[in-house]
This record gives sequence, C-alpha cells and structure tokens, in this order.
Amino acid sequence: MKKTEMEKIYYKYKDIVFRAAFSYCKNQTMSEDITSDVFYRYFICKNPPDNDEHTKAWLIRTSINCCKDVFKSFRYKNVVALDETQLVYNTPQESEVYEAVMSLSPKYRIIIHLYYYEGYTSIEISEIINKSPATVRSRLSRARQMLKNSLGKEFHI
Amino acid sequence: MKSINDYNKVTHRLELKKNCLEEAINMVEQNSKNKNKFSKKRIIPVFAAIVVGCGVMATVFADDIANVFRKAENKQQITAEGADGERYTLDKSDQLNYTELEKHAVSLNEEYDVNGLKIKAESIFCDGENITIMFTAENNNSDITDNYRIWAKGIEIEIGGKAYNAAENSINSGVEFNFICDYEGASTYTGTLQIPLAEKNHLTETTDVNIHISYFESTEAWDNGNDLFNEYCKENNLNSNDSENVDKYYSEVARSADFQFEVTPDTSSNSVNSDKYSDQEIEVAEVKSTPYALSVKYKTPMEKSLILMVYDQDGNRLELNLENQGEFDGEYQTSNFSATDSEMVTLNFVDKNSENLDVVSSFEIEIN
Repeated sequence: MKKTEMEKIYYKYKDIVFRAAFSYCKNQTMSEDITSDVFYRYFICKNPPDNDEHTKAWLIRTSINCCKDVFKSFRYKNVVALDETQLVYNTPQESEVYEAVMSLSPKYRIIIHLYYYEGYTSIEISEIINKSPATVRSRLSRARQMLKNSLGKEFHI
Repeated sequence: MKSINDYNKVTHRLELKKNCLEEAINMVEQNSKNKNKFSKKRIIPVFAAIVVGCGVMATVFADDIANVFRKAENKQQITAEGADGERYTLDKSDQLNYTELEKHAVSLNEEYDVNGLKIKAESIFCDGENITIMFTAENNNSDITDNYRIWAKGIEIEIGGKAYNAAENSINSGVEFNFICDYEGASTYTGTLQIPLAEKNHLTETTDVNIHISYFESTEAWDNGNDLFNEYCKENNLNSNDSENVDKYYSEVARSADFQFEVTPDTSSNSVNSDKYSDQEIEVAEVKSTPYALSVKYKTPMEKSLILMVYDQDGNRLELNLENQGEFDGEYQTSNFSATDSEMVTLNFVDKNSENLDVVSSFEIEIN
C-alpha cells in the first residue's frame, strides 16, 4: 500500500479506531498503542475490505481483538497503569453517565459504544464481535438495565 | 436529565495525542525487513537440518543453555502469519537482557510431556529479588492449532513452602506467560516466566520452587473460548451456566504440568547506588543493577507528566520491562529496565506532553 493511501485511511478512521479501543480498555496510552497496531495490521493485510462500511467494521473488529490481547497479557493483569486521560466533561450529568458506562464490564461497554455511539444495529454488531444477534440483544438489554440501576430514574436511554 | 447522549458527547471529545500513523508505517517497514528473514533461503536449511539430524525434539532439547538464551533474545519480536492470512508481530514484551542473564543462569533440565506438548524448564536465574525461568516447548498436539503462540495459564507457584500466588506473598499474584515459536511455521517455542518477589520474601539461600501450570492454551482457544465451552456443554448435555461444568471442562481439556527444582540466589553481580540525586523536585533515591534488570527508585512531582528514559554509557536506550514494570510504594516509584553491564547510566526525565519530549531533568549515575 502506498504511503498516501495509508494516510488517507488513517485520517478517515483514526478517531473511530481510537474511541472503540478506549471504550474497551479505558486507557489513553493503551488505546493509542492499539490504534497504531490496528492500522499496521490494516496496512499489511493481504485482502483489505473493499468498501467504506466493511473497512470501518474491519477496523473496529481488529481494535476489539487487539484489546482482548492486551487484556489477557501479563502486563495488563499485573501492572496498575497510571492513566492520564484528560476527559472533558461539560456537565455533571456527562461525567455521571460516562463513568457509569465505563464501569460496565468490557463486553457490555463495547456493545453500548457500537450501538449508541457508532449507530450499528444488533445484527451488524453481531458480525463485528462474532457473536449471535441474540447474544448482542441480550447483552444490550442487560447493559441498559445495569445503567438504569446505577443512574436511577432520571436516566433515559 | 441524564441520557446516553452524555456518553456520546464525552466520547466525541476523546482525542489521539500520539502520531499513530508514523508508528504504524514504521512497523510496516520493519515487517517488510522481517519478511526477508523468513525467506525460503533461510527456512529450507533449517528444515533440511531437521530432516538430516535427529528430528525437532532432539534439535531443541540438545540445545546448550547459551543457545536457548540466544533463541529467546531473537524472539523478543518476530512476525508470523495467522490462520486468517494476516501477519502479526509477536512481541514477548519482557525486554530482558538475555545476554546478561545467560552469564549467570543455572541449567535445570526439568522436562514434562503434556499430551503431545513437551515442556522443558531449561534454566533459572535469581538475583535475590526476582526469579526468571526459561522454558522451551515442542508442540505435537494437534488440538493446539495456533502455530505461533501458546499461553501457559492457571499457574500456581510455591517458593520455600509459601504460596507465591497468595496476595500477602506476592507482587503479582496473577501469573502467566506465553511461548513464542522459533520462526514462522515452527513447532518449537521459547517462553520466560518472571517471578518478582515481595520484599519480605527476598531469597538469601537455596530454596525449593514448585510450579504447577494448569493448562496450555492457544490464542485461538482464547478467542473462541466461550464457543468451545458451549460446544462441549452441548455435546455432553451439560448446563453451560453451571460453574461446576467450567471446572469439569477444564479438567478434561487442560494439560497440566508440574515442575520442582531448587534455586540459589546469585547476588554476586548486584550493585546498588543509594546516593540521593535531586533537581526541580525530582529525586532519584536508588539505582540498582543486576543481571535481571536495572531498577530505578525515584519520585516526581504529581502535577507534572514526566516519564523516565534510561540510557547506557554508549547512549543506547534501556527498554522498560513491560511484564514487570515495578511498583509504587505510595511515595517512590520503582521502574525496571533491561539489564546493562554499563558502568554509568543517564536518567532523563522528559515531559510526555511536550511535542519533542523535552528533557526536564537529567542525571548521570555510576552503577558498577
């Protein structure tokens, strides 16, 4: 792949990849490392996806797989990372809701992220995370319930 | 009113701070160089040697200790092609200086056959504060289909009769390590287990070490673990929500291994500089050099985002040991870097938020 093509792909999808990684691993430095790794894998991929939607889904799926790799690593499990992520909250509600979502376990967080932030349907999510649509719907439902439990009646989803 | 839109707004403000494009392109270039390493010209003689010689098993297990270390060092980063046709960079991330370890490690030769996966504890080194064990493996188990990385999991360690995994005895209670294959397509592997010891458990005399590895797992098994378990439950008419069935599943598919040996701490090459160095509220309290690592104990002002970069006397950067970065005692941070035989090191504290990683403070410290 030519360098100009790499640049084009990178600038188009970098935020999507980074934000998906961050929603999974909650750590700025790790998410940045994963972003580099994901684009590297894309650049050397022998059969890259053939259109925009497939490219986006491929990049998100690879981000999630890279996050899983990090999660199972000795480093992640045993070293407490000093995360210096500068999150910007404009209202107390933003802080409360964001932290409630991030306190869910990764398998629920990523579903919330893909469904509400990226706007994917449960069937599309099932293809990205390689689970059945029923599993996605059940995780989405449980995630919503957990958010309602932690954020109270004022929370609307 | 709180809504999920609040999550979307905060997420939308998240920004990359690093130039990941440059890093990705560098990796592509590196990958291209590595590809040449695995060209047919290099691989064919290896296979030829195996055919002419006594087979893979004999090739691996006849290795002398130096060869094992050299292999491990080479494998700190290799690339391999996965079943999906993509090329992966395999990084052991341990950043150990195998050349330094090799001079001090003691041979073990503890071997275990685990359903076609032959695991051998090759050598051990202990500087009193850390135990490092080198393993090799040969995979003839057709169930382990992943051909480039195998995880050793569910590890229980007993040192001098004390359960290392117990929180009160351990710095890292969750222990695992992985084996990386020798080269693309090979069935022989090397893995390194690092065991950092809590201060009260530092070793001064010969001590018994027992290691139990519950099971070995390929990356494929990890990625599809739930599916494999569900399949097993379906086949055996078991309830997949019952935790007892999880144990049953692992007791049937797991291939456990037990190793028993002694370790004698070798502190002859350890040196410590406990002089205090300070500048701009940055303090270096201790620099310790062993064949396992160069450890720096320091503190920096909380309000500054500083990172420590360490260089030997020739200007080579010492890598942070990602598997055992060190610990924070509430006041001082201890960070472990790859070992060096350098007599002097330069510690640069750099501002990680500055564009050019500006050096805020620098110390030159004698260590040997």
